[in-house]
Amino acid sequence: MELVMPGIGVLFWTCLIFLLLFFMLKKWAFPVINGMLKKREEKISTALNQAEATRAEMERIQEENKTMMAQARTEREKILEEAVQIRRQIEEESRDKAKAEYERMMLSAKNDIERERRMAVEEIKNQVASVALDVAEKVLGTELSDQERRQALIEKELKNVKL
Amino acid sequence: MRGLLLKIFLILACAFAAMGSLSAQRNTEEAVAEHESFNAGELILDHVTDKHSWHICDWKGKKIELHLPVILIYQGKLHVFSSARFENPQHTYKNFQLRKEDPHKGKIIVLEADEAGITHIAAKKPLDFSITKTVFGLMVSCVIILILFFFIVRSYKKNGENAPKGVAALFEPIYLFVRNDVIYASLGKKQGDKFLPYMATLFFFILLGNLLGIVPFFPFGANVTGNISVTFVLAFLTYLITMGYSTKKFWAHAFNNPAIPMWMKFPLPLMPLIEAMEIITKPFVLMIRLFANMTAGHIIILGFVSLVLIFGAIGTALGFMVSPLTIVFGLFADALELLVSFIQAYIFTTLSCSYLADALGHPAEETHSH
Repeated sequence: MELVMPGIGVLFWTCLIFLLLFFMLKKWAFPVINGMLKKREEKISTALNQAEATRAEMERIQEENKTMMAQARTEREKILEEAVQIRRQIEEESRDKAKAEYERMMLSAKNDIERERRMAVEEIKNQVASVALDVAEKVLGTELSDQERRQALIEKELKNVKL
Repeated sequence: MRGLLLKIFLILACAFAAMGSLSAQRNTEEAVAEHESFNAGELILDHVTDKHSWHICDWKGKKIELHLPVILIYQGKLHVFSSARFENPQHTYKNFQLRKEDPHKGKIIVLEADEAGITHIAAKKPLDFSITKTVFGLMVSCVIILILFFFIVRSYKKNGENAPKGVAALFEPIYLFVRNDVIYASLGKKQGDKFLPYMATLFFFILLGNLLGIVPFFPFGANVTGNISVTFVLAFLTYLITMGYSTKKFWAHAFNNPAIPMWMKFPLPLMPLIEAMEIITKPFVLMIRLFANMTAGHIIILGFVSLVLIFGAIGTALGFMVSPLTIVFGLFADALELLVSFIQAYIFTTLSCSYLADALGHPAEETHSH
């Protein structure tokens, strides 16, 4: 029966010791522990938030990168196209120029030839005239009665003509 | 790795506890058993009940014990002396006697002489505020709690918000379990934080009391949480808090529950009576559960240990033959006690929280529904 009968002494001491323990832990231990736990929880949650934010930022940057890359690629293509075009233009221009030059040269050559030819013809004309005069002189000097001789004379004179 | 070490430590501790209790009890009791016939019931009750001195061991036929201070209030006067004063054939000091047999076995009574000169037990007993074995064990467990918390707090202060190390790492999962799964679960976060110091103190107080009760050697092994006075105080404090913080809603619900039909409340207040009884039985059950579980555990271990002594009294060889059985069963009982220590601390705290939640009108559910 003694086992189940509370004794005043133990009741008193238990009360005292337990309350003492409670107040000591409450004043000194639990605030520190709970404070640290709370701090850590906050730290972890902020770290998680930060990680989330960083991830989003990374994604944004990657997206940006991608668009930038795409832009750069189109830019490059544009530039290349332009370059090709410019090259073609330059080629065409130079070809045109060359052609014009060629034509101009051809024209001047033709003109030269024409002029030379004309000069030659002029000279021939002059020479022919002088030859004709010489021949005429000779013919007039000899007797022009004989047809045959006349013809041979002309031929002979013509052979002497040096053009 | 750490978990494995802990397991090995626990297993060794259990084994050590079983062996320790064996050898300790064998040493103490064999001398007694040689002189008188061995009485297991007496031995067990002797170990489970409170005492004024702490028997540590026997050394070369001499008892080594710690004489704890006796503090008595009798007729308005304070008497403080060592329990060693009772170490005489009559167990008397001044006119106080420590009773060694019935009636009032184990209690301190006052002897007075009547006119005829015959001494008899006075009707009025002194108020016994002695530092008994239980009280001393209580102090030891509280000192250990304080030392543990000293290291834990220091570790937290040093470590800052980083992951816990050392004692704090061992302590934190238990603490978080108590906080999140016991206190917050029934009281909600807001109310839970308010009652966290009390509930956590309660848990660790009971846990350490239970665990140290299993350790068989001095200065542990006092049946602290298996003492009805200790569990009474704990249950009563919970009761006081519960009643102190009870809301109108709780009382209205208890005595005029709208869900119960009128004929159960009037003219015969059947349900209100049952509810009123429940208010008293709740703390009573708390008190009895912890006390009965821990005392029963101690009795089981001591019973298995006594097995050796009972057979040893018949014949020494028989005693030796039975001892392996005792070791195995003792080990089992100790392991069981280890489990029960945690479970009882958990149950006491959980029920305290749920009773408090009842009284507060279930703050956890309210926060859930919002």
